[in-house]
Amino acid sequence: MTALPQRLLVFTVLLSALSAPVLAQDKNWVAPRTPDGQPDLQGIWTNPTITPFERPASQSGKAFLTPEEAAALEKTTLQRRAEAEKSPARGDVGSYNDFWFDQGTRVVATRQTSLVVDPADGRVPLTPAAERVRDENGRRETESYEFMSVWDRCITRGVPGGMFPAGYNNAYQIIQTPGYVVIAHEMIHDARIIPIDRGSHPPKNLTLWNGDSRGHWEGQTLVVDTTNFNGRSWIATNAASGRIKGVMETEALHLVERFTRVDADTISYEVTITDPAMYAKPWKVSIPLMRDGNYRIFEYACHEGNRVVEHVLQGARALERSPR
Amino acid sequence: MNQRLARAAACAATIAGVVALAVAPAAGQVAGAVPRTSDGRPDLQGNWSFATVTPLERPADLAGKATFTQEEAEEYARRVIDRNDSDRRTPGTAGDVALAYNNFWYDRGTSTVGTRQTSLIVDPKDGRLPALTEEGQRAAGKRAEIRGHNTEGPEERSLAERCLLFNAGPPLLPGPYNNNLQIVQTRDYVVIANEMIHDVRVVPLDGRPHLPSQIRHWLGDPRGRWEGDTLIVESTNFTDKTAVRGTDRNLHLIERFRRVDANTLQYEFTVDDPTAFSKPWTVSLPMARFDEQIYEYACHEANYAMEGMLKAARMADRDSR
Repeated sequence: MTALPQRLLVFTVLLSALSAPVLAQDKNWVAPRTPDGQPDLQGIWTNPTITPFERPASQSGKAFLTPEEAAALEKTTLQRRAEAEKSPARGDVGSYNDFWFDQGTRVVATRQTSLVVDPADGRVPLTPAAERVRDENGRRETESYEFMSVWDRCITRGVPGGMFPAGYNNAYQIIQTPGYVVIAHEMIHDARIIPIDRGSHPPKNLTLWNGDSRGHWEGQTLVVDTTNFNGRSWIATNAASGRIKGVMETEALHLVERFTRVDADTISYEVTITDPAMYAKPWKVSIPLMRDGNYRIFEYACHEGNRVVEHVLQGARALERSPR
Repeated sequence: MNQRLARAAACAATIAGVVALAVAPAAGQVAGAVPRTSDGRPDLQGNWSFATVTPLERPADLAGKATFTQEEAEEYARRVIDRNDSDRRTPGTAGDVALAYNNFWYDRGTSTVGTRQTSLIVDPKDGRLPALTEEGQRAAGKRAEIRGHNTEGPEERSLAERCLLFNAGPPLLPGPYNNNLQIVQTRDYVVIANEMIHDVRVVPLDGRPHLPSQIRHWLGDPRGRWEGDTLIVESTNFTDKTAVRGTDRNLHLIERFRRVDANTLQYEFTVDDPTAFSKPWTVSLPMARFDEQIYEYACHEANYAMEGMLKAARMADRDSR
């Protein structure tokens, strides 16, 4: 990840005056344009971060870290990782060590205390039903692969889950034409081809794992509206998403994503999530995407050569057979 | 794709054929408006269908005949449609459980390609795949041997059954259904999305070199460039796990996309793979524009066939003891 000191300085100066977690925008900076005059979002963007998905209890009532607090959090996070590397937990059979991860070493540039920015407490307004279904999936995970995460099953990381930071492969390539925006995700090689100003959502009975996305421009911002979910995916599939990992997406899920290029190296990404059975009210996530000209996206392999699902289920069956 | 769509595609293919015939079999320069992008390149964007009844290899009874007449093409299409009609098969074979997949599920196309060539292979001139090399034969023998015995695990099932690759190329060849492509194009990249197994290739056009040879991709490492109005995509760095009609890791694939008119995308590819084939071979596959939406593809979700096959193989193992 390339972080420009100049940009950090701008943030430092402006953030003291900000009360809402929006990315600081240099008023003199003009986004480059595509040949047809749209703000140019193209390139490879990454979003690994140590900023937690939801605001931790210890930061209750606090929307932003000071620069000193951010530096301290970064330091302790790296120390904790190094510690875990040295002394694996009991029962750890030696899987992924730090070599395999690429989960970032910095908080997001805004120093917001959580990626969830609305509600104001930085916590997802989960309904009891959402927690029940999530816990049921967790409890029954080893019964059948059908209770496992859609990512573990190599189906998808979902929309918007595919945009939430994970342990590695946090890269996105955006390609843009007058009629379409393509977002190719490094993780699980999902590619969304989003029509711009073309057609409306298909009828309700046509449901999709990743929903039906339609885009349009509102000034500098690409707005993507997504409906027609199939009710079988998860809103988030990674441990980094904490409590919301495993919450189901229902067929009523409605997403509004907003992509705004705020400077040469940053896209502000926001998604507002509405799904009344799962959340008491709509909630919003804000994650800066950072330009990384040196990042190379290679082909992604998911379940080829990966025996984990099989082994988890075999292990569970072996435990059932063994005398208690 | 529904019947309406199939008819639309067939109709487009027919229109395309009339135009392309002037320069059969590889549709050549045709005067007329080819839309262009803002940077002046031919606009390849949109959805394209490559469903066709034209066979990859020229059938033995057509030896020496490179092109059908219009009547022959229609007659040939009728015969193939009839032969492929899975609603007319005899029930009761063990492998055809409950007559799974009836005709409703297929979308193989209803006409020959517009050029009326008798095979998709246009080089060698006999319209047949060239002979495999000795090495290629050994590899083919090994694959046949694996297919012939009860599979021990998913690794021995086909890549399609494992939802890794599904006849979606590269190179692109028509299959039983989902023969649809979406192209999105900028100055610097061309995105080629295949409906089948939602594989997407993001092809850079900026002249960067291929990956180092030790990095291997299932779909190869594509590099694109324009030669006049033709988009050339060269792919190398394939794995040895894929075998398109016998190709191996040394496959050097050259694909050519050229928009010959509003409704036709001329697609050709050359397989250059000296360790697998005794000489290169070339396919010509005109694609027809259609303006329907391509929907999401599902592969192994809710598909219990792999599990069922492996279970059945274990039962057969037990029975044979």
